[in-house]
Amino acid sequence: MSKLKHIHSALHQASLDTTRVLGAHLRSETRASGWPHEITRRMRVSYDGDSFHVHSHPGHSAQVADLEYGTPSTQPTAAIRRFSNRTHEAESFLTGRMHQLLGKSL
Amino acid sequence: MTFLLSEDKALRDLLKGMTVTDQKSDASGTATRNVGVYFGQPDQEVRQQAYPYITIDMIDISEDIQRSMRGLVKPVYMADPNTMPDGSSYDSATNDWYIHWPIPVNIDYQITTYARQPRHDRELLAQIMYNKIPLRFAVLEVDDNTSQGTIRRIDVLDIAKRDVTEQGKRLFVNSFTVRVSSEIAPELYKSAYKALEVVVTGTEGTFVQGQTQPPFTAVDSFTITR
Repeated sequence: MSKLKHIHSALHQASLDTTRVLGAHLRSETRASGWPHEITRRMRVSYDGDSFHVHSHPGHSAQVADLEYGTPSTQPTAAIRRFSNRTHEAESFLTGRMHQLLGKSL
Repeated sequence: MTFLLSEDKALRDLLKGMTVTDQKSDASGTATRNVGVYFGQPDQEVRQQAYPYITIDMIDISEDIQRSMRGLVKPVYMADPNTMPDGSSYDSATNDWYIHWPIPVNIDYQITTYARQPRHDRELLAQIMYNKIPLRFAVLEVDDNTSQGTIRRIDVLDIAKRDVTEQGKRLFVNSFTVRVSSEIAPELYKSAYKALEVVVTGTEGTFVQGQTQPPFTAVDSFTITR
């Protein structure tokens, strides 16, 4: 396997591993914003080979949007947008995981 | 400049003054309705009579690592202190000051527009995106018309269409997420002594690097006398 393929493979694997860190961070942020436990515990982050995506349970989509952006009678709590502003920890994890994987394969 | 209060006021001032038109405002359709701007949702009684209106919610403050710097600086837009760290009065003739570089932060706001009529909704969208906060090169004048005024970046991060039906009536809602650049300055000024008189002595007829004409006269020494 060429070095470039090794690097691509390591990046992909490290990104998949990072989704667990991001998911935990996301749930922590939504919990801190007072989102209902039922919604929070089903939120996760996925990686599709190109970018990271936030997911909630399909049945909670409308509630998540209302909590995030507010409604005419409630203030926005913006947990997902706050989460996306704080990715340093996940970036460090991703970099460290890349080093670990590349150290093994190269 | 007061952190957060200045940005809040500047953003509200930026959004104030918008108007919308419709056939109901008068027969010719040229009379205008003013668009109110509130921090958070106004009371329901006010809302019912005030459509369309705009709300501002501060949703996040985060450090902007990419703009961070270390060192000492004297920002021209910051006012001179009243007292020096040793308790003496600040006198600009003999004193000077500096601070550690302010910590750059981003303040994220959600700007939400509410309208009952689709025409009002489109007019608000157009005015905000075309005049108030364009997608490129939008600026926010904070504390303008003073020596401490600054001009900030304002970036549009997201625009979400969130139309709903409320009590059987259509409500057209748009949520803009915008980012305003700001900074948190350390409160403690550090004092510096001004060099009030510098005496420079040179040797006549001695020139630098073979030059034979002024201003290349060599300097023997210089002394700060007070």
